[in-house]
Amino acid sequence: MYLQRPFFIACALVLLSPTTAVAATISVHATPANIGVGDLVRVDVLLDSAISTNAFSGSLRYSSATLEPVAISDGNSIVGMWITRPSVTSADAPITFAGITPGGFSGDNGILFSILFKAKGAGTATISFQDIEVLRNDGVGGNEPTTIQPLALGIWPESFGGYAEPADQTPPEYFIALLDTDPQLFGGKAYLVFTAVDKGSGIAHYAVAESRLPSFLFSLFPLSWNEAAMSPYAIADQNLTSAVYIKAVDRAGNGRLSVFPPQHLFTGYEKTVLLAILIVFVFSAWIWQRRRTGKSL
Amino acid sequence: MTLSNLAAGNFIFSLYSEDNNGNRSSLVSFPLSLTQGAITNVTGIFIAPTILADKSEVRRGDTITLFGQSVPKSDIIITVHSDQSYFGTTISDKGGVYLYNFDSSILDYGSHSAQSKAMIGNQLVSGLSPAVNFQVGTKNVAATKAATCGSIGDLNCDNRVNLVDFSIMAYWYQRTLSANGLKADLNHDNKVNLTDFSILASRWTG
Repeated sequence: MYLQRPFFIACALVLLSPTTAVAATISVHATPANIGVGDLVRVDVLLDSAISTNAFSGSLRYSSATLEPVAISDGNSIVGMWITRPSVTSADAPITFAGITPGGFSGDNGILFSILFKAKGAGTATISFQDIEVLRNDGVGGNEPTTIQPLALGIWPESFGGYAEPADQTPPEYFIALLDTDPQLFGGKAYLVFTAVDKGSGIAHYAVAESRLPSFLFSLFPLSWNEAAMSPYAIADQNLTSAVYIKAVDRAGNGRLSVFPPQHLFTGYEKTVLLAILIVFVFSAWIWQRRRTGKSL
Repeated sequence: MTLSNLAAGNFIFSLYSEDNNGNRSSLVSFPLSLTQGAITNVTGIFIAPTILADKSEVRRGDTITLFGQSVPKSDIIITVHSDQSYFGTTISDKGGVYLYNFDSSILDYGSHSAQSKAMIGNQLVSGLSPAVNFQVGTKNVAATKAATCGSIGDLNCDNRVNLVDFSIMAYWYQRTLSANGLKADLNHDNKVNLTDFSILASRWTG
């Protein structure tokens, strides 16, 4: 009996203790692990989540004295759409991000995004996070408790070769654009929304051009590309008589074209002019016919 | 179903089904890492049933009928969410249609919701269906044909929750809301933040 009582108490403590298992973890993984000054290092921001989560945000901080961000890739990201796409704004600014994954993600080592750093000073570089939010795919946006695992990265005075970015010769995935209007967006003008995915180096930018000309005339009248276009894109031709050409370009320069077809052949003004020409033509033909047959008007 | 010409890399695939009344199931999503030149077979995907209710409001004590479609001859587990959850089971017919009459007398007055999932031979279990909401009140009100316009996340009323709705919500992200922006505030906390995007993502139809 003396032996059984502590055993019972121990079991009860185990059973009654709150569940301390954390369902999500945000961590970073550096490739390669050993780097020296002047080397490139790829840092993947990873999510482990035992239950399905669908929204992620936060900011990443790094030692700007030892690391310089060169580029950011979302090529293999689990994030389907970015609310705030992670980007390098200045040499020492934190990298903020917010995005969603329709349908949710559960599993290990889901890449949110990757950063290419250049090591610029020897020492220990820390990469950490602030304001991390991971929300559950539960229909109400429930908060998922998340553990943060920062990284302390040793940088040696001499180079080890560093990270070599693989050649990317694959264009972004096929994508489409959707048309919509909203009273609050662009003053109620028609606009297109689009998003492309590139599994290699990641999307670098989009370019958009509009034209009413058939494509075989583009050699004579080249498209005028807006290289700074982004989604949502307010269509310049609000009569929607132009085809809209959207080009997604990855960081290696590979492009994928998506064409949003014209919604109308003619503008309202053109229709009126054409109708007037048609009426004049029919009336002239009628008069000519009457005169030819010798009938009076 | 075959997908080809995909680049190597990590993907998240999402599937849904649509029954012969045009009602959609919830999404089933799974991450997959694809290798260049290799064929990857995925099996064992069990899509959740569809679900509807015959009443939007049921008089307390009357029955509310929950119905939908799933795999033929599968066990359907109905869950009614209230202060506590109530469960019921039925079997889909050879056409996959199921129907369950739920006695509302055990529910309090107010808002409730129901979901269903399917099970085959106690081994394969689907995910949960979308939630169907109903009220327990003092009268019976027949449910109208699900007008998806105005459903949660469908901000532009095109019966879809997709990139366009995401774009509208992104416009209102962390802005002061005005009349039209209120529709993007899905959890009604007077701001559009990550929580609203999470709700939108959970209702995604594509």
